[in-house]
Amino acid sequence: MTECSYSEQVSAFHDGELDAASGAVIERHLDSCPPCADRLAELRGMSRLFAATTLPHLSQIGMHRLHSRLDALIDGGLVRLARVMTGIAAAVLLVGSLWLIRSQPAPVASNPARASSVVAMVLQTEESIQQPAVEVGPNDWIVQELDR
Amino acid sequence: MAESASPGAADDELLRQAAGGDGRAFHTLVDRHAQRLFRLAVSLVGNAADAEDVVQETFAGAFKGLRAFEGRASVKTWLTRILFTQAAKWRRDRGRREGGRRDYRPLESAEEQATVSDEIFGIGARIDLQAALGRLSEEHREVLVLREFEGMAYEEMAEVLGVPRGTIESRLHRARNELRERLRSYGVEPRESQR
Repeated sequence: MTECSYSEQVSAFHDGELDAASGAVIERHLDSCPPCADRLAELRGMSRLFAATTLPHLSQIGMHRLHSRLDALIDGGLVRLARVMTGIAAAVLLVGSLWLIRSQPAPVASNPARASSVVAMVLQTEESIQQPAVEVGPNDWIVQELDR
Repeated sequence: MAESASPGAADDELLRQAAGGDGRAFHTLVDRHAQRLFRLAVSLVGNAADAEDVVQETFAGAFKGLRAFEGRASVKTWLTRILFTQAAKWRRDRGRREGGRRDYRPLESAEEQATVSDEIFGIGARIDLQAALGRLSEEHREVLVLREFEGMAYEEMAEVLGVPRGTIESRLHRARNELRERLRSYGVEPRESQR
């Protein structure tokens, strides 16, 4: 059976999706077209069928599971953020340390004059360490006291 | 479970707060939309257990995409669109796992059954609308569910499904024709006596 050319518009008319002018055209058409009038009755019947249908609700346990899953997701996001921040802090510390090392005064060895004086001081110190201590015996101590 | 915050706030305000790191605002959005999305998911995938998974994935996806929300559509439309994407993904995964085309399971228990009272249509048997819906093509099921269960306008449906308004109009017309034939095969004549 061939559908009436208005059939699709009857569907839109049923859904309240036509503007006033188009709706009025369909209203008039329905009075003179029994197949379209039947079609509209069917559409209304189907909509009542849907409206009378009850779908299940998400249970309390289901809601709890949903919130728990999302909590884990939100907390996971915070952990990831903390990791990223820690990584950035570590990178800043590393770069800062490298910069400090590089910006320090040139090493002692690179200044020959200063290096030689430092070397001299070191040798002097070593000599004083290596020099055997003068042993002061008891007799010497008595002589020293008498000299005073 | 976190307590809900700002219960009176508009959806888009809650979304902004959630995008700014307020987890409680996101939970409030979940409380507001979970039941509606769950019913939609049941009508798309056909059973409560899988529908719950789809809803979880929907909110997880929404949370990850909080900053991507541009506010062009309503939060309701945005969430519904994510739900449809997740339901499609669920169907693909299921098809891959089972290696077949069967992508819709009928409701499993009497409590889960979507039923219609006998008095309305004067028939002795319970009408399982879900069974009829489950035999429709995916495209037809989607438009019928959005229009008849959600009461969405054509424009909104077009946004959810990402197709032009004219496509919605013609697709809905064909979907209703197909559903009518399915119902007739169950001996149901969905007709009102008066115009």
